[in-house]
Amino acid sequence: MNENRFASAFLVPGGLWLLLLFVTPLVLLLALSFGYTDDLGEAIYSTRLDNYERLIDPAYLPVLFRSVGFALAAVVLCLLIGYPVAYYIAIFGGRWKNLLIVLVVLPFFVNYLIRTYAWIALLGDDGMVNGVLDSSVRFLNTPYAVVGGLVYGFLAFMILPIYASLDRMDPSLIEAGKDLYGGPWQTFRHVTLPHTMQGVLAGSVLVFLPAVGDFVSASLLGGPEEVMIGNLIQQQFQASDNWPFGAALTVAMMAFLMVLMVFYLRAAAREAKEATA
Amino acid sequence: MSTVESRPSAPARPAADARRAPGKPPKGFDRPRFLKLFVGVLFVLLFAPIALVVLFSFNSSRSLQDFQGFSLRWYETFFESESLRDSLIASLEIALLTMLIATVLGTMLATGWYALARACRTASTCSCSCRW
Repeated sequence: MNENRFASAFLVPGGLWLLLLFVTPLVLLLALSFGYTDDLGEAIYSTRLDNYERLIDPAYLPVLFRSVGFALAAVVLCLLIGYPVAYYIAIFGGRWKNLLIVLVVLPFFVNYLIRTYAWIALLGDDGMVNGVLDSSVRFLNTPYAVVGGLVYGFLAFMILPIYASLDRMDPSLIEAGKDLYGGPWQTFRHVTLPHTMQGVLAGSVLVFLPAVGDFVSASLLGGPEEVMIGNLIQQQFQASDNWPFGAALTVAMMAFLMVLMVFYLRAAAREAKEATA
Repeated sequence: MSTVESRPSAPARPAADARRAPGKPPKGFDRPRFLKLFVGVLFVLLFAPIALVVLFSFNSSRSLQDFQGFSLRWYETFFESESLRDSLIASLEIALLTMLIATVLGTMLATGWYALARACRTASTCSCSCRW
């Protein structure tokens, strides 16, 4: 009992901090999403549903679909790129394993914004790549550039969990698969992949969540045709100065992500149960 | 994608290969040359933009596209400007303060939560509602 109270006391400062600076703004945001702006552009708290009705406006719906599409594309690409890399490092890395993992993480210490700016210099209409190839390929202001930027920005989030689950896996399982006359693909499909499903799931969520709300990639590498929900939200809070609508967009996106999280947690729990069974 | 690569026409492995040295891949694994190339290309792509930024910080002209000669011009500009120096110091101060607060609060939350969860597990009657 005494220990309980002592432990509880340790939770107070951090708990208060989170309550004050995380929960309170969230509640304010939720309240604001039912508000409106008056003639002077001042945000007024209210109980209207106008902002949520605007969400299904034909002007905004495509942006929502595009955000989810771009984020899904980024997840798939990160998986296709990240899995082989994690596999190589975990199985064949040998004594270079740790160094290779550090090399994977190292670029992510450089600010996302700066790395994205560097891509502009590389891929711009008169950037390095077009200069060296003496071509005039249009890389920027395309959906590919935005998805590429997302993949580049969040790849480490995919590699690390997959690497961790591959590293935990006993390689003799793969040998067993081969001893049972499993071909490379069969062994991968029935042994390696199921054993690393937890990592794949965790990586997918870790990439999807920041990717769907990202606005840096779309605003720097994309054009007006590549606007994502993150840009829309940023616009409402800054340029258009319509905080209530921005709040409604944010709440809607968070609700959508929370539904996805529930699916993820259930799938993860099932995988964990299978792993221990 | 066949990540578990094995060429059927590969000659029989010498017996010495069966005794695996530490750090070597387990037997039954072929050296994945394609995979190695793939990882190599990825690392080049990961570091290319950063290398570019570093290189062009020494450019004598304003361009991020064509390199017109080595110079420390931009570093001079940076260290001579008082406002840029101030912003660097402000960044460091903010980062330091963030680190201090996050470390203290985070450590307290983690240890407190852990102790509470353990106390709940061991106690015969749970007097707190920390079982989430």
